Amino acid sequence: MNDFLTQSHWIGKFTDKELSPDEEVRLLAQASYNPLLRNELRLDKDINEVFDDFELISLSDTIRSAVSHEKSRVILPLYVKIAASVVILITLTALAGLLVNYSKQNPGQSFHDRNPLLRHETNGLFGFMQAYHMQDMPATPAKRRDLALSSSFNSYSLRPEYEFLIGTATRDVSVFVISPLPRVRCKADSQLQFSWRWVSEVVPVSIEVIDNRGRLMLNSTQILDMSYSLETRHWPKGLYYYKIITVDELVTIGSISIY
Amino acid sequence: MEGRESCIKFIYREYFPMIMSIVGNQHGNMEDAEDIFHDGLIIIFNRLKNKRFTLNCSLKTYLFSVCKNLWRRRLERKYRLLYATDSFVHEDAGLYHQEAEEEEHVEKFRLYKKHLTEMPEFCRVLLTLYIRKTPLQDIARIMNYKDAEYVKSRKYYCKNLLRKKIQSDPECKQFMNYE
Repeated sequence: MNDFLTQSHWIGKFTDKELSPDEEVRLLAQASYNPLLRNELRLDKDINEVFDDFELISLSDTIRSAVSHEKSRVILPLYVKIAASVVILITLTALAGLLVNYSKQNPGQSFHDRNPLLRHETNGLFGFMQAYHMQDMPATPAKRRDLALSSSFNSYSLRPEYEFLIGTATRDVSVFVISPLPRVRCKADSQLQFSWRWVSEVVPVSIEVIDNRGRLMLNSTQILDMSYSLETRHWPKGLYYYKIITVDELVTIGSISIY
Repeated sequence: MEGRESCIKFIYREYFPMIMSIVGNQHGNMEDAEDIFHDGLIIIFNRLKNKRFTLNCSLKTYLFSVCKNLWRRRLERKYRLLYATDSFVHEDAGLYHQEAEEEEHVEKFRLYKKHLTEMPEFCRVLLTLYIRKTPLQDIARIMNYKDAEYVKSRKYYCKNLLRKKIQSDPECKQFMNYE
């Protein structure tokens, strides 16, 4: 084929009807015996026809753009969405708890001291939930009671399980208690006198003193005298309970308030 | 335009998996499915422009039918095999050929457009403006060329380039039943 014709603009000009009559005759003469040139002329016309409808081109562009946009969307599987929702929920709950805790703190403290996340003794993100740690959970009634008591407990707080026994005395006991009275108050650094009498035969007497937290302060056993002097010199001020016990009997319970 | 794009996005989200299954079940890949989706939508768009055309079934069913026929005929052309007619190929030979011609035209359009998109930038812009029937003076101003004559010269050069690209593409040769 005449390379000049394919390389030049004659083919395009022919399709656009911009050739002069003389040029057109020459080109058609060439085309009459040159099938490749005829093919070129047909293809050029074909291109013009295919691209004639600009609306189609616009639609095609829109389809391509929409498809590529939709393809670029990351569609997460359902389980990933659920996991992400749970993580977000936990994080938001933790942050909400943190804010509530933060607002309840002493406003005079520094932010570092008030922020449980920044304190060393806290336990990570859930440090603000100290009351709910597993080891501190009041699992038994006794633990729940202790937890309730611990919130407002002081050295003069009463122990209900002893209080309701104070003043009672076991009948037909072998010991009759003279002093102290069931509820006695004494100053710190003083002596408290215990005295009793045997009803019939002599039996050994024990005196037990506990504080209001249940700690044993004194356990004096096998007393064969009829009196006993209790030194409270080094005892802190507070409420104590005493028990006078014979061999196998609780004779009486009383309270000692040291002030 | 915005509405048209969101409509196409909806169709893609809802119906593309169906087209993917048609193509995927018959040795096609994702790209083939996208091409079939593209061509199918253009065919439906062209048919909808015809005032005598009425849609007697759901769009999903119609798109399924168009895409299935498109893919079947594409395979026929690709492997030069004669398939027995079945429910997806219309018994009416005249209608069949008419539809086949329409589909061929759309496919040809897609391939030519692909080559147009792959051309050097100045050619792409110039030919797009020309296709939009922008006056040559305006093209010269937009492209910063000295005059309309120079625009014409560049246009012929670009069309030559496009012809060569199309001629060298084996996919396009099936449409060129020339001598």
